[in-house]
Amino acid sequence: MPDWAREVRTRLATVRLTPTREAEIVDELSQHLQDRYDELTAAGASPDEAARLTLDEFQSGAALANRLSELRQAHPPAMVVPAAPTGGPLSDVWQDVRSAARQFLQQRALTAVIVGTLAICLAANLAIFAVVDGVVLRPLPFPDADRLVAIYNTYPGAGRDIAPSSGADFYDRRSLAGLAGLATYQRLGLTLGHDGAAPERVAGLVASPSLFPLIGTRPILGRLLVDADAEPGTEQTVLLTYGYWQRAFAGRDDAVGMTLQVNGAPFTVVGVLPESWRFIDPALEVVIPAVFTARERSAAARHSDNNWRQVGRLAPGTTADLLQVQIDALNAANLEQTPDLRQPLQDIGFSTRLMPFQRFVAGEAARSLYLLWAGALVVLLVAGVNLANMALVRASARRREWATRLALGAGAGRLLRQSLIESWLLAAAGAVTGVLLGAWALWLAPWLGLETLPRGTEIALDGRVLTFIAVISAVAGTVFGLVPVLAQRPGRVADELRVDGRTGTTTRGGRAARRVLAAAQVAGALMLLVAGAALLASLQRVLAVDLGFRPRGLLTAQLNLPPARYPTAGAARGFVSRLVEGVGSLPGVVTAGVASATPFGATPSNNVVFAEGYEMAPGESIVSASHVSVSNGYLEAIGARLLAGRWFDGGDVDGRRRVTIIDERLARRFFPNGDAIGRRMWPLRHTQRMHEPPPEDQRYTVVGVISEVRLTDVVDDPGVRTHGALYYPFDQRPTLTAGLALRTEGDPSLVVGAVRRMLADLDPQLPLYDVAEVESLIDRSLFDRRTPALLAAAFAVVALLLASLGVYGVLAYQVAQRTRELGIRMALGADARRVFRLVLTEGLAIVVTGALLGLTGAALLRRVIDTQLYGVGALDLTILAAVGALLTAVTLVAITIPARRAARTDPTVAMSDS
Amino acid sequence: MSDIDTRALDRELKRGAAELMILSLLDAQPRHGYDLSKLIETRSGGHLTFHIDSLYPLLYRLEEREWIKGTWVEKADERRRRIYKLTAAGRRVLGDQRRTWDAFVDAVRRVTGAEHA
Repeated sequence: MPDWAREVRTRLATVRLTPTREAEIVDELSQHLQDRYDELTAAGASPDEAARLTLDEFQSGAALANRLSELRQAHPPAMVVPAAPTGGPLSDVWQDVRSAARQFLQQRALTAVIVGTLAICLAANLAIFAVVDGVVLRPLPFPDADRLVAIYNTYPGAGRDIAPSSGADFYDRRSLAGLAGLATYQRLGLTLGHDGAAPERVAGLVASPSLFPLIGTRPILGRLLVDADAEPGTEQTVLLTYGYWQRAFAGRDDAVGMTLQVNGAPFTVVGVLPESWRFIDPALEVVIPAVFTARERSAAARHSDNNWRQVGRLAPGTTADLLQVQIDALNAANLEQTPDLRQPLQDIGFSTRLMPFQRFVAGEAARSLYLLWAGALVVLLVAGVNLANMALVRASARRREWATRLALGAGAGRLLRQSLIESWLLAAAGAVTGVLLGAWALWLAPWLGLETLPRGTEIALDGRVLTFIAVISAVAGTVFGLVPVLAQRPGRVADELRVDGRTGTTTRGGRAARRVLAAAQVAGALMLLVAGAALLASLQRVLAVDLGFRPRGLLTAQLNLPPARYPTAGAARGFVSRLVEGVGSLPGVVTAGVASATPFGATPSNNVVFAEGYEMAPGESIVSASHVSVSNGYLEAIGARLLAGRWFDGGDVDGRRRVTIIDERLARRFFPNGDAIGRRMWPLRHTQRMHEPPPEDQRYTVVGVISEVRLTDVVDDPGVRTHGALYYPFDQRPTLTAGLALRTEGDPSLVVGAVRRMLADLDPQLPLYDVAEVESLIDRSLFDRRTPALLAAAFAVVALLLASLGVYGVLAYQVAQRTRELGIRMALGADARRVFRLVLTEGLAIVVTGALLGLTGAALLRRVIDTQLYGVGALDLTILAAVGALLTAVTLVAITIPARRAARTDPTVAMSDS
Repeated sequence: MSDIDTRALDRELKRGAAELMILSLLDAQPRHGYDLSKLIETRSGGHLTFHIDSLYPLLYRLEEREWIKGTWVEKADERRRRIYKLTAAGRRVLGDQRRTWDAFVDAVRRVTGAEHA
């Protein structure tokens, strides 16, 4: 008689059973074999024959093992099999990683789509976050930077929501109890020269010495500026930045104590700032003290020379609100001293406000950056929904595999781990590719105009940015990994096994979830489309704005006459007339002129302006206009258009009747009846006696009205409302800034060389700087509109494509799932057109739902978007119509493809194919 | 939508029939494995045989689903045997399956009957 137990045990060798269970099975099966053997011998079979027949019970060697392997008891938890040859949880993870990698290799196309989509979205998010972080989020590099506040004046009536303060304001406010420190500063172009080197034009900072303790600066050489340096009449001092020290003084220690010519006057170098020192503008080369005369510090000067920005540090225990109260009280007390000013200041809406210094530095850029960031996140969400849907589809294709494994005791945890590992691998691949793409995008930063942003040079792909990407990738990976497992809730597993053979038909709930997700995608895409289209339409309007002059072919360059060498008006007059004459006679120069502020060049001076005979209504605000001194022929040279009156001519010189040409905006403001010519105007002279006209000979008679020449921006920034400009003959109102504007024939760079040589003859100490074609200056000024518009449009297009892919995916999946149902419908007489319509209707329902949601979202965001727009509104009908048409066209394609496939369903194939 | 999948039907028929037979036999009284295989063979007139390598995996599967329960019974002078009996869940499933089976057989009979009428 054979050893039955041995026979059974051999056949169980490959099955993983607990020793106890294996013994039981061996026992039971041996008993069975014994019974069979006994029966056969009892029936008369020989022992050999009986043994052979009994072993015939085993049809094949592996059948028993195979069938038992499918059972749960063949998958005991690892810990109850101490001798199991596994290397613990780590080796399981490794196994999962390898199995996932194998699977991705098998499904290369799908994997590439998933990783690619993720990478593009992550790259966009990386680039935007790097910019947002560098410009807005990252704390300023000062100790306790969050206690720093910007203090600014606001004159909304005059068109300036954020205006600088005066020197008097600084001396007023620095004794406020709520401030632990206050500094005032302005960025100023300076002409530097030393040791006979050619003087150069650099960016300088003029600041009260109190700035340095405020932002925690220590010098690396010499000393910082101290209050004594800011007293008028003392030796003039200058502090070097590290960069300038290296460049101009080759980093020599004996630079301290040397003399530097600043705007033609000698300044003594007292110290050098550390290399890491940064304040408002990375291009700063030197810092000189802000010196205020006794008059400039007095109450009389309080509302004049408003060129100084202020940064203060909140005193310990003080809040911004408390400080605001103190400032309001101070302003009220000051008004008591100057009762004449009360009404005009009230009419102009004057007050003094606070804002966190960091936000002040970021300025207007912050809002559009936040909008773009939101846009990038929406794109990521839209893409994320696609990935989740793909994961769902993959999951339902693997339902049976999973259900079986669950039933076999794999444990939900094990499946969750595998799903998460797969999803994390995809997210990691997407993140790595995304970081590379994003780094490349940031490398394009100059093309995008990023360095024109405040703190734009601080934009970097650093640890913070990488952390952000790592976090959102991990979140995305986790969500996409959880979706299939949640969809595969344990309760469903039994169903799955019982309805053997059903090919993963989805539940009604799952289908609805997928449709809602697709509708949400459409909603997100529509919101981005509305924003993108509105920004593009706005950009188009901006580009179509009449600039009031002809920028094409116009070249400008800047000069600054140092007061030390041009102390009188006559000196400046003489220089400018020789300059205009000299440049005008150079070969290649067609027309040339000089102005104190050329378009998109130096900022023109702004001052309150009055007109004779203009009666202000009660409560009407005084207005501030730009004041520009121009040489004869300048306005003609830039291509301004004369609308009334005449140009300046050779008779408009010093000592003759003072004249002015105003632009049409100012003319409309003061002379709405079109009778500007012959009227007289004048700039504000004394804030204390505001409405007192100057002597007859100091009023300017309007002799011409010209087109409104845009001076600093194509359109006004938010918070700025320009009121126009007055132009004066340079001879009657000379200035020390002299912008050169010229039109050339032939190569402009040759002409520039000739201009420089001619200038060297006139005054070898004068650097010619900011030589540029006005068109490129305009282009630069539009970066903050063009880049956001193009980026938003790009986001919108990507989101639209992803959403269409989503809609297509949902419909295509449903059509595939319902092939048999559709086949039955067609077999029962539904014609192809009805089936087509059925799918079309479903698709349209998704799109329309999404579109309505998206419109609601856009309506809610309308006010935010509108602040970024010029000349259009986010919900303008033309924009909505264009967006609607685009959405319809693209989604119809996405819907039609599965609908046509459904309509072509062959009933016989559909019903026979399971 | 209710549908009949032919390939699945084939599998269902075999596995379902086997399950149905075993549950029915245990419904009458608890039995051990060898007993079950003998009963199926004799009652089917030798048309159906259940070998050891398909019978026991099926029993264990039914046991894992908790439709049947096996217990070791020891008698004097005999090796211990594992006796299976139907659980309450098993009884419910048996009821369901019987109804489905009857309906199916009835449907098939009507189809085939009509063909020959």
